Formats: sequence, structure tokens, C-alpha cells
Amino acid sequence: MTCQQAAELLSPYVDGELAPADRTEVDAHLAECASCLAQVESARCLKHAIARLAGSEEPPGAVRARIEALRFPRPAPSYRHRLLALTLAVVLLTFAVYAIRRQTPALPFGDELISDYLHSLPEVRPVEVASSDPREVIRFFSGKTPFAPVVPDVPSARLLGGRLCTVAGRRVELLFYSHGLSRQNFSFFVCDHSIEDTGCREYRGRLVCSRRFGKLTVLAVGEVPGHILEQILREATL
Amino acid sequence: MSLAVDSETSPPAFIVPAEVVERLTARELEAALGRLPEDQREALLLCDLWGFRYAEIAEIVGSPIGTVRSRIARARSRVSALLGKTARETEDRSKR
Repeated sequence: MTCQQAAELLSPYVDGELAPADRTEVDAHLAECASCLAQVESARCLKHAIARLAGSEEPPGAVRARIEALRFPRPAPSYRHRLLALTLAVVLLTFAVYAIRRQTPALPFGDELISDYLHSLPEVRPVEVASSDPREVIRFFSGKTPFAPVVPDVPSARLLGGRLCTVAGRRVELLFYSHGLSRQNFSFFVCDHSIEDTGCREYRGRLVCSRRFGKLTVLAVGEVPGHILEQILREATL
Repeated sequence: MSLAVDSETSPPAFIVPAEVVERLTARELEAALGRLPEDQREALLLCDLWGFRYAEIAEIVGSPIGTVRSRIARARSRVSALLGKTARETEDRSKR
């Protein structure tokens, strides 16, 4: 891939909107091209800077009206339709939970993880580092974890901060994010525990999804629906 | 030296160094965003500020997804160029 070809893909790359094949090609190019890598860094910083404007920028009236129209586009469905949709949802959910439980082996510390998560929420205890700047958060974790700290980038989410946690006797990063417009929160545990399989599984009524990044594992848990949590984890880049 | 901020044919480039973006004030960034064409600003804010996916933005603005992708890339490239220019002007002023 040439720089000219890569340039067309860098913006959607930063947004996590590339097809896996294109993403792999861009990753390979970035590993060799400092100039394109600097552009990705610049675009990411710009994206984070715009995300930090939240609250000071409001959607223009016309856009807001279109968003509202899309959110509430249809009149209320009839009772029969609602009953049918509800039945279908219950059946699908049952199958999904069954499939998740069947495919993913249990994490040895899954319950402990959820307990830590619930006790560490920013509403319960203040975060130790409150920043949407990944570099600042990495600086906070430096020297405190048994691995070089990382802050996964999630295109559809905003970093809120983090705190240090201990899971199964090992120091881990706990990072807090806010997802897109919904502002629903989720967290990543970043750890160097050896976890054989990745996927999703329920602990104490909450879904935990995990993904390996080399020697590190990122475990996602949060208030967002399960399919969004899986998507967030798929999009995440280190 | 002229800045190629408006070219629709050359690939988008993000030329402002990350360190410069990190030092930006909200006012400087808002000023640069304010200089974007309406359709580009709308697409960029829907993506970066409100966290919509390209497919959702396409639905919101009623344009094909390829157009959304291109508008966001052009918007970033243009904001980047404008911020680079602002940073250089600030530096020149401080040298005088």
C-alpha cells in the first residue's frame, strides 16, 4: 500500500469504519510509515479534542430535528405487534444467553471482576485520574501495573478516566468510557492475566466480554446492551 | 506558501502535529469548526462529538455513506490545516 492509497483510508481508520481487510492493510502500512502514523495520531487527537467539546456544542436545530425524527419515527405499534415483538425478543435473548454460556468458558475471576467494577464506578468512588486524554491516563498508570500501560481507543466512545484495581492478586487498569450520544457508561479492565478464550459471558447478571491484544486482555463490562459491548470491543484499538 | 485546504481531488491530509492539537483551546477549535462548510461540519460533529456511526449519519443527513465518509475526511483535513495555520501565526506573533 502506498501513502497515497493509505491517505484515503486514514480518516475511516481512526473512526473504526474500515472493513477488516482494509484495516489490516492500513495497520501494516502504519508499521512502516512514520509520516502516515503521525497523521493518524493527529487525526485521533483532533477527534478527542472535538469529543471534549461536549456540552459547549449543541446540534444545529435542523440536525437535532432530523435526529429526533429518526429516534421517534413510528407511531406506537398495535398490541398484537408489541406482543409478537416481545415474544420474539424473549426467544432470541434466551438463545443468545444460551449460546454465550455454551461457547465461552468461565473466567476464574469473573465474579470478582464484577464486584470490583460495581465498587469502583465513578458514582461510588471518585476516579483516580479524570481525563479524556489517553496520554495523561497512561502517565498515571506508568510504573503501577506489571505491564506497559495502554489505553484502548474506541471511536464511538469518550474516555472519562481510570483507577488502579487488583484482580486475582494482580494490578490491572480500570478505564471508564462514555458511549456516543447515549452517554451510557462502560469500563475496560486491562490486564495481563492469561485467558485462553475470548468472548462474552454473564457474571452476577452482567455481561463481561473479553478480547486478547497480544499479551494483554481487555475485559469490557458496562451499562450498554450486550451487542453494543461486543461491538465496542471489536472496534477497540491499542 | 499557500495551504491546500480546499482541494477535493487530493487525498485528505492531517498535517497539524498532535502536540499542537493537544494545546488547543476550545475557542480555537470551535473557530476552526465554524469555518467548515455546513455539510462537512455537520458530518464531523455527528461523528466525533455525538458518536454516531457513518451509517447512522448517512441516515440522519440523507446522503450516501460514501459521501459521509468523504465529508468527514475533508472536514478533518480542513480543520487540521486551519489549526496548523493558526498555530504558525501565533508562533510568528510571539517571535516579534
